[in-house]
Amino acid sequence: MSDRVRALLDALALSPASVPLRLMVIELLLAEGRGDEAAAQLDEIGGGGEPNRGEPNAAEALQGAKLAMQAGRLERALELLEAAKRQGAVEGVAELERSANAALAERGVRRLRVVRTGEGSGPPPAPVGERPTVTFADVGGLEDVKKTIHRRIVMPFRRPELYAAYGRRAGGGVLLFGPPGCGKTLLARATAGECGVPFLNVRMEEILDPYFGQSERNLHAAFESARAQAPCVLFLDELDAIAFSRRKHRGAAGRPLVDQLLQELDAIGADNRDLLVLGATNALWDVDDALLRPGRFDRLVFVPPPDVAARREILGILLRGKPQAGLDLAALAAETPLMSGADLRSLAERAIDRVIEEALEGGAEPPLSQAHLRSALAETRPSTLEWLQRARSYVEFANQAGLYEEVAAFLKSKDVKAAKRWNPPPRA
Amino acid sequence: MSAGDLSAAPLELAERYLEIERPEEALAALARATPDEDPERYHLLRAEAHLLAERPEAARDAAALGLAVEPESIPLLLVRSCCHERLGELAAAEESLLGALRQLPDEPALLCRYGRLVARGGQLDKARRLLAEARRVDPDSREAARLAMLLDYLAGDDRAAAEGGRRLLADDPEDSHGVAMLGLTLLERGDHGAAREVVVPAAALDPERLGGLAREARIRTHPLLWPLWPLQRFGSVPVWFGAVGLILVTGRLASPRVSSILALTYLAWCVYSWVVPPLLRRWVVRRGR
Repeated sequence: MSDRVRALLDALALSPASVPLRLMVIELLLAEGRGDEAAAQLDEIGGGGEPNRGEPNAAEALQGAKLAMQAGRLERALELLEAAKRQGAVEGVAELERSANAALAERGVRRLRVVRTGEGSGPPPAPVGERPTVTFADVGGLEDVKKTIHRRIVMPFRRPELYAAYGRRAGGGVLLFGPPGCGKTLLARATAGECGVPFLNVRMEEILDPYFGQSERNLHAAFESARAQAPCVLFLDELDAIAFSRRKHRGAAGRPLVDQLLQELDAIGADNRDLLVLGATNALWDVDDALLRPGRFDRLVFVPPPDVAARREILGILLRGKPQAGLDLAALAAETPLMSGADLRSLAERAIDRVIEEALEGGAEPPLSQAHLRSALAETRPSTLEWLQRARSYVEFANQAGLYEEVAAFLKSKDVKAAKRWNPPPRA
Repeated sequence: MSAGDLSAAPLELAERYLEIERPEEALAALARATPDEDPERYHLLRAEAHLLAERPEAARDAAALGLAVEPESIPLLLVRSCCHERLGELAAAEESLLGALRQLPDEPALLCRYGRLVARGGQLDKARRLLAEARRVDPDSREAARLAMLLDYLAGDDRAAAEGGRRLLADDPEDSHGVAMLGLTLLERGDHGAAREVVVPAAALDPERLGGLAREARIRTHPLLWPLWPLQRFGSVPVWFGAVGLILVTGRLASPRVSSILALTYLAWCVYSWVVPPLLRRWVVRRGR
């Protein structure tokens, strides 16, 4: 044992609650290859209120976790990481946690996750990932979209070795866009379900905050939480609100939030390995251009209104278990071009309201018929029309980078042509 | 304070939502506030949210509620004026604007706004006087430059309007208003190629506002319309007089045969001018690019 270590141990005997001093001793002991003694000192950090044992602050706990990793005390490292989290540490926690988990996995120990717990001031509790049970089988239609997502997003998680061989890895940024009510959120959830990883849903209301700098902190906390739970899917719903185009911004207060999101996506001071960031937006044109550059949301997936087969399937699900007679859902699906899932739900509800009215007036309980549905159809307009009209302008004038190629192809599809010809049936 | 806690600082949260053009969320945040603490700001935010959501009647009512408490509030007076203007109530819009101008008579932006309003009502001389006053206060005012361009356009001075538009765009090439005015002026002058050069690239940045004008510029510069250039440049009546004159003169001075050929050619050209433009327009709109 060197003189320096001996002197420090003497000092420590006089000030046993000094965590920085103890960390210094541990560091020197490890440098001298005295792992067992270092491990014993590690156990002395933070004693849950026991006398003579100092409670580490966030930075000290993090430093202790690093030294515990060096000493091969992985469980102790995770305990100290927990302590660091409780103290509000964010930076670097995900990386350490990943290393500890990898080492634990080698030993066959079950993976542990470090998640923020409650605290007083500062950022709010970050979202905790859920494991979605929804898969692509639960999403009606959209076969092309599901196939694209499966190839580009799910498979890198399932067969990482294949993709690694070609220099690709799981994660990155994918942006789902399309008219409202067409299943973007469900698709995102199903994507996480297919990947078999946790799903963190971050909504605009959870991020935006009236106080200066707080929105950026909320966003950072969400990303750090996701990194700590990686591999996982971080879903940013209504991305256009979080990353509203800085060119169109009516004030200056929201711009730092876009900058923060760019930093998080670029993983400045952090590691986004195995973190899939899924965004969804109805208004791709309102998303800041910088987010669509390579390395950020560089994969765009257009989620169109459901096609005729999907509409048939959705109608079947919506009307399942209802008293019905002689329904021709295939015919009805053909008469509802461009209707979103939400529109079809509205159509079904209106038809059922009519049946209930008849039941109340007549006393009997008539089944839902095709006439009820056709009558409701006369009052239901596809809500996607306005979106498609706006999108047409962007296809025509703002498609230089090819962002709207899929929309352009959809605008030439049978459904759009059918919608132009379609006249709602007269009211019954 | 936790994210999503709408009960804390709802006015600030509503402002954040309005900045990113989310009027419904702004109204939801305001629904958790009361006007007691800061009535002017509360009613102003409500009015702005309704205006952004294209509900000028509701915005006007919200502004009126605010003005009942703070009758001299300039922001509220301006929002109410804007609501009245959108609803076509020009006299009421003028009254609200004058309420603001009485408090800030030397504010160029207000003078120009008033100038635009009276120009819309056909009072071009009064608008010019307001423009002169605004320029006296601030010779470099962009608002004044915009108003000057509008007045030149309304007065039929396309050359001056186009010049003004070019100066505006030299300062800020992404100024949608300037692009729209310049594009419109160039189209009116028959300078379709120049209009296309100005409007189509700008429409890439703001397709919703400039898309219609850019589409029109594309149609008018289409090769199928090149034969109709005299019609677009001089108008149908001068072209008719010119053609008929030429046919008559040719009949007198040359031979009736040549005159007949000219007459038939003119007739075919007329049929072309009736049939091709509407078909082309439909095709361009349907094709979409």
